[in-house]
Amino acid sequence: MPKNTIPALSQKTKRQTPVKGLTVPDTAITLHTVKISPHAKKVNVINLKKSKKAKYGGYTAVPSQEFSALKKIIEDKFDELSHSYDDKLKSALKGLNKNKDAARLHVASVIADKVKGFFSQFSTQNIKEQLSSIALWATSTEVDEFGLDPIFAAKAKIFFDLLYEKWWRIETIGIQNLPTTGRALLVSNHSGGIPIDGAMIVTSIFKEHPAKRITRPLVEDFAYYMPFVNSFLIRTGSVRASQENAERLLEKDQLVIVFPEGLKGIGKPYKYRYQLQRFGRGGYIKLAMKTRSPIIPVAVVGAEEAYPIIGRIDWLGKLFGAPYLPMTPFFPLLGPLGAIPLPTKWYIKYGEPIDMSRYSDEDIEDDILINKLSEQVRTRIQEMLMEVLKQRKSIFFG
Amino acid sequence: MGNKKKNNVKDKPNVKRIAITGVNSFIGSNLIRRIANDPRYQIIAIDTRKPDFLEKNIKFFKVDLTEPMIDAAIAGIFKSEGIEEVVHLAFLSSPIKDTTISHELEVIGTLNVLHASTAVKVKKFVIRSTSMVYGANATNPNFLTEEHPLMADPRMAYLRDKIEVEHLVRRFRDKNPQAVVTVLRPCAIMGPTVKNFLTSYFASPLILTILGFDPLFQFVHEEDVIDVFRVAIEDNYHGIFNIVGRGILPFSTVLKLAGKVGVPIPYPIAYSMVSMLWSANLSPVPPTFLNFLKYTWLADGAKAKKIMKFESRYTIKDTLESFMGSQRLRELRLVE
Repeated sequence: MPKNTIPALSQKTKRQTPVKGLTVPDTAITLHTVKISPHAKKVNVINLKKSKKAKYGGYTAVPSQEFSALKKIIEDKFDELSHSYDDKLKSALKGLNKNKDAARLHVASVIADKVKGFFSQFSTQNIKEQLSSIALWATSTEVDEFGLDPIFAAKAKIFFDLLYEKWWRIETIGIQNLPTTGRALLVSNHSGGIPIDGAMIVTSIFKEHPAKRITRPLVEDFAYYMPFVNSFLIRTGSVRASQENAERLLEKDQLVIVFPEGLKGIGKPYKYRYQLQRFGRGGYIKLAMKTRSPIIPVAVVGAEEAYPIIGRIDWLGKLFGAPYLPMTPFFPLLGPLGAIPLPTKWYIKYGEPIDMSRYSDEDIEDDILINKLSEQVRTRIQEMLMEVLKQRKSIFFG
Repeated sequence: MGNKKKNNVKDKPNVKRIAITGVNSFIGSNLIRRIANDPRYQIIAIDTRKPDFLEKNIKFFKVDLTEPMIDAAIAGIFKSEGIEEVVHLAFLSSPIKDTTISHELEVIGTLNVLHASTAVKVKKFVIRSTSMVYGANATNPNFLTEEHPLMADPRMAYLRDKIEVEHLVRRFRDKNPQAVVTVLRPCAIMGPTVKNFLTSYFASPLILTILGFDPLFQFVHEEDVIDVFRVAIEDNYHGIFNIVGRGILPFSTVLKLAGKVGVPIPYPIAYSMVSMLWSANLSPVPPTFLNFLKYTWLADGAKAKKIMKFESRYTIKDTLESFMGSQRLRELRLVE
């Protein structure tokens, strides 16, 4: 092979930018022996050999002289060619050996394309476009006011769907208790070391409810200090648990999930499973009263066994910005593998809505009433948990 | 001649006599250009250096707000000119290293202007603050309303001064029930001509970000900010108002739309890096500002929309585009 070869020409390039109006298969024509004399102003096509393999000919070009000269000639030629491109090519394709001029032109134009194509990949414009398309992968340029990114959430949903259908085989009970329109405050038990029950409730409502409603879970503060976790939560639609945020969402007639057990729920040891912890300070009752939202009790069964907590490692958790690292029989003993939650069978039960519109604004200030109502909701969820647990025969098979 | 003119103005009941401090600042210079020829206003300009764009009908007073006993001098000017309204804009747009100077200018300067305003019993006091005073905290609600406590990290001298100014203004408001006190808290100001620490942060092609954090961002276009000050002068709006642009975006998307490459660095490393760059005059902000790249600090513009009828004309994308467009011209040295 001669010294000054164009890399793009000497190899069979697999990917090639298609030329307008030309539908030659990539492999049909390989350029073989095109010699360019440096002084000549046009491309001399010498020694066109017909390949046995390709239907249309199959030629390969080997350039013999300087590369810059070639490039210049080709570029000059290219514009000229492109005008009569379609016609000439048609005839070229009809019979390459009959019409030698057309064949020459065709070969020259293919060289021109290859050269141009080869150089265009290195143009700054192209590199910038490539980079930005990589950068914008799985992100949209619009988010809602709480940072929910629809494209990112759709990608995450594939993963959550898999967990929902295949890993935990979740069954939903009483989905008809959720309103098709309008606001509601969902109150659920919380569990599982890694609090993924919120995501599963969201998935369940989106999949099973006829209105395909989007639910916004309220998440504890600590998650917002954790790198990566915080941005993942925001993009997938979680909202930091605060009175202001919840009020704003409910005023917009959305479904909101709260976990009044909070951190105590996530970290409760295995032996206390399905025993509801204290329900915060009743902030969610005030919220429901203020926004006149019905409360829908939710019981999640199965999640509390998915990640059986037998201990906590506080100092390791602090490293990641979390309050503690949950210890299970498998984690951290088996390393990251041990962090995979167990494939238990889950049930999500939605209870009947509790009407809160009968309370007036003065009742919000009545702390004893708030506490009483909170306790009632807690008892209701505890009952629902027990009902489902009674019917369940196996942790893993339901 | 001057006296005669002044007396003429004083006789007209419909002409508001307004003092604007810090006319060399970005908002000050643009605002005064907009309202200079408005027959409803008679304006005096106050700054340490006389700007070259002043119209002939505007009187200029060279005043250094940090000098001792300057409050009496300002009160004298206000009295002789019959000032009824004060627009206080003499603030720093970016943090500076010498925190003593910045404290003197921002806090003591404001205190002096407030003293003078109290002395002449002004009818209106408009002051520029920033939505950064709420601070960037993980526990912030998604939208910070005007009632939210000012929780900016006290290690940030720049914002500590701004918060102190807010407290001074609140005291002034209690002391002067006759005055309409308008506090405007614009969020990050962006646009083709404004220069502040944010635009210099966005000027470089590689942008430092914090690894694993991607807060939501909002900007307000410079035109909107100038406009809202004009509106605040025109009508009476008593209270504090957040001034924000339309739309929010995650910081990563902001960078992508601006064609910048984000360089994510873990927070502790970024902190020490920026503190070194800050002491070498290579960073526009001290490292304490990195919290604004970690946590969301969106201000809620609902109050300004409801009461001032202020609605931004620019979406966040328009704002970014206008900034980037002028940035490109600046790189080609076609504009200053």
